[in-house]
Amino acid sequence: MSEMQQAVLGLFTGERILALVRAALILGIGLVIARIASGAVVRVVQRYADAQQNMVLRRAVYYVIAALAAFSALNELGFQLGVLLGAAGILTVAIGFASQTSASNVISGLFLLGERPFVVGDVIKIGNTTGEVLSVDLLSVKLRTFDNLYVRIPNETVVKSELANLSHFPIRRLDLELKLSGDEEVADVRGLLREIAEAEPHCLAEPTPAFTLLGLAEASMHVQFSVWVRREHYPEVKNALYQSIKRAFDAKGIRLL
Amino acid sequence: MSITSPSWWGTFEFVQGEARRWSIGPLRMTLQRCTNEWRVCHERVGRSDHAFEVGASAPAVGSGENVARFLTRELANTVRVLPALADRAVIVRPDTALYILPRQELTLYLASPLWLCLELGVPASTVWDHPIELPSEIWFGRATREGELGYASRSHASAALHDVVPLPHRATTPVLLRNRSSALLTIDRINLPVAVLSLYAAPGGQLWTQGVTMELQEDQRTVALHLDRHAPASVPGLEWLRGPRAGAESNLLVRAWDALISTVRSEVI
Repeated sequence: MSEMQQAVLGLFTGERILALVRAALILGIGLVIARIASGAVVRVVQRYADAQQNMVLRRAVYYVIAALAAFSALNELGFQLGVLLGAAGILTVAIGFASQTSASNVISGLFLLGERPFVVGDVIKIGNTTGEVLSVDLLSVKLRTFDNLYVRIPNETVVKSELANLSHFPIRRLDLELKLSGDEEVADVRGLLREIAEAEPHCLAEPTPAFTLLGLAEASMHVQFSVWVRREHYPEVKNALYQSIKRAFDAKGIRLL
Repeated sequence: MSITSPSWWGTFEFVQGEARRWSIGPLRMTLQRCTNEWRVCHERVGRSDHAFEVGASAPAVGSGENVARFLTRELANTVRVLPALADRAVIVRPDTALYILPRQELTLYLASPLWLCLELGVPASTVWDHPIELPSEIWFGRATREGELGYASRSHASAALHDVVPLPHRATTPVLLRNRSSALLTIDRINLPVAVLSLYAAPGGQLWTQGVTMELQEDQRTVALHLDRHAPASVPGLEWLRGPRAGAESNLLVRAWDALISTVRSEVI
């Protein structure tokens, strides 16, 4: 038997095999405990915390216990943790330089969790993307758009961009812009629009609908009719009002340009 | 609960297959007892404020958008038809703005819309709960960021009991407004917390709630809201009909004055 073969066989002594088995058991049991503990903690606090806080707490508890189990397993195998930590420190610096973007995303994610411009379940608009927030993760925010696409936006982008939270306040103003022939009587148009708003059950009576003349041109006028609605009724009311306006204007002979 | 008449509420017995109709204000509701189910159909028609029809014979309920079917194995053929107050605050807007002089008080009688509820089964559970007249929703608060959603209601806001015009689909609440401050109190809308009020029936079939006192404090910023514990003494013969939808934490609540009496200006930019 060559020296190499003897050296390799020497690694698999009974004692080392036992240590390997113990380490595997510690890691396995640790992961199971991590899963059970994270679920239990979330069940206890879920009535006091929202969906996002529950998710962060579950992951924090899981990874802390899993890390402790991993360190214990490594210790069982005879690794010197002090040396490991030292090596990890050097490795972190090297990895940090190589992954600045990822580090920036992580830091941005922490800022998002602290500032809370939105929470899981809110509908937000970033750039041209509008969707429901599914999760706020370490590196990115996940959205589900209304046409059911899964969109991943890096946290750094979210922090640097202008963001609109469409779910923050309970009511929203719906602006309807209409371009009409300059021959129409403003008072008649205003009266008709107010009647249409009153007939729409989801238009709030107050704040009262507002009629604004945005501009006049030689043969046209540009008006804005604003109504307030509950945020969940926004798309439905927008659709319904445009249809009602079209019907009413056609019946009265008012021309839209 | 004893049933007062004339009234549109009470316990009604049906035979298998029978359909009966209630017409109250703009609401027409038809109820039919079928095998293992109850069918309810409703529609809103032109307003008829005073007249109402109770349990008249009606054609069978078909199918459609406004039809609800409640399936049950129970053999009981009775249903309870009950009035209920709104499930949210009602923002009452007097027809004209009101002013209460400093250190003065006045009782106004404000009307709020009613809901029609159906209770089935043993123990009775509410299976149908609809407004008789479809109220407009309204935002009430200092700004569009803070406030609450309620229902809008117009009222004559009678200052004398004999001026109150009772309607079968509205309940009347006596509201004592007390101005303890040294400034003129302007009122163009009042937030009436009807969800925490009880309902009482008068012998003539009119519906009332207990009284509410709103007292503007000297700082002109807070209002003490006090709910009476019993039916209004000024209306004789009232019988308790049903309790509040939601429980009030106490009979005395202190709110900011603009949470009870306010106006929101719409910004247009």
